[in-house]
Amino acid sequence: MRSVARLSSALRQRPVSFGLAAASLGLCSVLAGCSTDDGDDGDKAPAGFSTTSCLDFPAPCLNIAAGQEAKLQEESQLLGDGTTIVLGEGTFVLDNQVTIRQAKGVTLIGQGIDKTILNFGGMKVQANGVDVIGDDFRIEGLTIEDAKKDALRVEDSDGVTIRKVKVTWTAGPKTENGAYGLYPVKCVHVLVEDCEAWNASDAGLYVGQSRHVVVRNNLASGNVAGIEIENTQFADVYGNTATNNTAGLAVFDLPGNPVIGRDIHVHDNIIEANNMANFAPGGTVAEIPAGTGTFILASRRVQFDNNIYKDNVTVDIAILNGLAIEGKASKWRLANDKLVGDSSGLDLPSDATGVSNYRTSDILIRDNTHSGGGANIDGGKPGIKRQLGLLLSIVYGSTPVDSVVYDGWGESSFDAKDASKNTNDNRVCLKGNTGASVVNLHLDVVLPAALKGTFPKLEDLYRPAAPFAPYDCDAMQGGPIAAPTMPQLGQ
Amino acid sequence: MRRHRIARFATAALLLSLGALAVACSEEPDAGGDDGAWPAVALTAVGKPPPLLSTTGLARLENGALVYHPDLVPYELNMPLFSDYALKRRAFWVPPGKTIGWRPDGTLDFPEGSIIVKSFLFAADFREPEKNVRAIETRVLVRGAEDWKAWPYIWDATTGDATLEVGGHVETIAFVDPEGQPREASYLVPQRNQCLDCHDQLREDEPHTTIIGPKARLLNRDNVYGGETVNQLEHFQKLGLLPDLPPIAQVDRATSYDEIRATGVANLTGEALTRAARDYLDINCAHCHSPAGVEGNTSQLFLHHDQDNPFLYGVCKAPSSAGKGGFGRKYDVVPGKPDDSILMYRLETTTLGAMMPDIGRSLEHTLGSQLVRKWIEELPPVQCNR
Repeated sequence: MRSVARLSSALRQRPVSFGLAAASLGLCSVLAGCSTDDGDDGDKAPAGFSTTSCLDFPAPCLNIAAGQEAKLQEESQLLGDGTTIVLGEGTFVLDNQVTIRQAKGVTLIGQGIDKTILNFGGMKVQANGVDVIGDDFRIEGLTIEDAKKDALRVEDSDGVTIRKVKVTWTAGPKTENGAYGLYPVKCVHVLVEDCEAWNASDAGLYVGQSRHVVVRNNLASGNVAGIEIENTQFADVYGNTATNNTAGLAVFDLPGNPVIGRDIHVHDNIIEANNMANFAPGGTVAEIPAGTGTFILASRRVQFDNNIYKDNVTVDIAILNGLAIEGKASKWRLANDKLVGDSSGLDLPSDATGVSNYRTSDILIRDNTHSGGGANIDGGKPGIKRQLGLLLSIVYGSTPVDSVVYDGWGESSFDAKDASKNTNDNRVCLKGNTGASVVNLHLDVVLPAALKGTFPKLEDLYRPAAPFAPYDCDAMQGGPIAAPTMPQLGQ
Repeated sequence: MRRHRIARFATAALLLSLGALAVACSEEPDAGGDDGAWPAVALTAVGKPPPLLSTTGLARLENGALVYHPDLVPYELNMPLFSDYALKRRAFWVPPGKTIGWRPDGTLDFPEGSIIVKSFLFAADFREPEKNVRAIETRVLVRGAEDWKAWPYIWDATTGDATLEVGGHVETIAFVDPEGQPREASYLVPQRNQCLDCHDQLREDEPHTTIIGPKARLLNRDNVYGGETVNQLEHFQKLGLLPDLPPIAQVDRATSYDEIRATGVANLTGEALTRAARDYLDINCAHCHSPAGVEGNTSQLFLHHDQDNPFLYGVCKAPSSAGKGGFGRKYDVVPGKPDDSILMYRLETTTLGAMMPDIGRSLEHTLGSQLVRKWIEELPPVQCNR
């Protein structure tokens, strides 16, 4: 892309009258059929297209300038396969979502973050910002502001590239904000890189119900949940920064969803000071206490390594069984013939015709660094809506919470003191972490008691010293995490 | 031939209703409208349709009143989708010599080349829906070889024609609703691609554009054709269009919205209440909230009328990601407790980002909310919490 841009800027040396170019653009807008070859009209990019224009792309390609909202809305309805829409510099004020359907290989590209802005703040109807169903879709180089629902929703698509896209709600973190920032869902082969997600009232950067995913070098800030990998198989998540969210980076399954999460590798991320008071209007995320670095819930074959955890005031990493949030095991059952993706080789509770995905197993936490966390649970304001934070605050009092909180759900043996009497049936492993401590909350026993008003003392829980037996392991049943297959990265 | 003649009466009636800008009222005698004034219906599923609706011959405005081509067969549905109180006029056209395949469930099997038109109109005061009616848009669906194509046209009262507007349109419309309440809708004429939000259904994992309303159980009702009140399906059969219709007594029949209105929600109870509420949720929600719903299936909340697993229609079901639509409530449906039920909140609220249906509503449908509320109230109580 960069070399193409250089080439086009070289081409722009050719002397073309600015006035003539502008006039031909104006003429173009009234001529049917002309709009598909804007890029071929001259060798000079039109004003407002200084970073990229149709000169950089093969036909069919459309340059659409800020102010041409009606043109954008009309053209985006009837795209042929492989069409590129280049958006000019400036703000597009939109009263409805940009909807892309029934076309493969569409690219929507702007002049860069905060240079090309799609603003939905004045929208009076309920809709998303950019809403896409279409294989091999790419969106790049633009900002999406103040969407009523999700800023960017891409659904049911194979081959999704989201690059250098900023999504934000400009009034800051507010309950009234739209739910999700970047929201690829039910997709295959998803790349999210160099993006920013700000102020979503649910998750800033969400990838869900998807398979083969790379999420790298993004920033998530001011959201309830910064980065969420939900019901997803084969994801590589690295180089991201999650800061100043309620929760930084989470990996989880929810009940009833046909994609059973697996093989999630989260490494080399910075997860710092995710202490924003929870401002979610409702839903599962409203239950997260402020100061949560990471939670891993109802998940299996997940590895977190070489991440930096800093100043998350409740807990750095919580490892939880799904039954801790949805106690009815039947709600987690999925019929085998309804499953999507690859659910083989997973150690799941099963019966003759189905499996359940509440269990958390095969979790490897290694070589992360922890500092400054756990000392001000839920920002000092634990509440009944955020049960886990409330429980931790009662149990820990003024003692800082251990950096890794394992719920110990389903372990066949528990003892508060004796390592040899604690099983590790779920294969939760900690190795080589700096500044880490761990607790087994014994939550499958503690939670029902707590709901009846009886709480354990800290010494009733198992808090081993390094090397944290029986969690001093580094092997995963079924071998190491499998990497995603990513055609757009040549893999 | 005969069908042509009967349909002509319906159109003639419309021609009569001139200044009244009336909605369909086909009981009037033939006013002598001349079929020759209409071009033949000409619209195929191939390519982009013409920019003006008049070119297709399907419909036009005459003295402000919406008039359909005499070859179109008007129909109504027992339970209509709520669209901000808009009046709707529906009709279909089947290419000469072709017939509609019978299906007991799902939509009828229209042959390739069939056209369905659905117009959205607003009365100034819906307590008098025949007066001061304005046509806003006409949606045209054409059956191609595999799928339907959907096209939105917007009416212009000054030209008497409608223009293809694939990019959609948002308009503020003020009116008095059927209960006498003043209302102001932010009415959305959907983008062509937004049509697909409802009209695309998954078949073997791939989205296919389809029709929603013309199902046997929704069409199984009376209508007036040529001044005669007859069952719609039997009428289609009589026209030679629906040869395989079984005896009408064997055909399922959805609850009539008009009958609910006449009876009053407060007087509905038991099985009739359950059926009415489920039929309401079916037509308003199930095009997305079913396993075939491209976007709605994400929720795993399935609201088609014959889906009989209470958990899947929301009873004690925690949403996967309701966001602000959750409103702090935990379950989609809490039996006996509408005010604890997310479903109820989503139907009642007009908060952008929280409303359901996802598209096509900016106002609360008061009577619909009352119906669903009563249904939840009367569901046998269950303790949802563990």
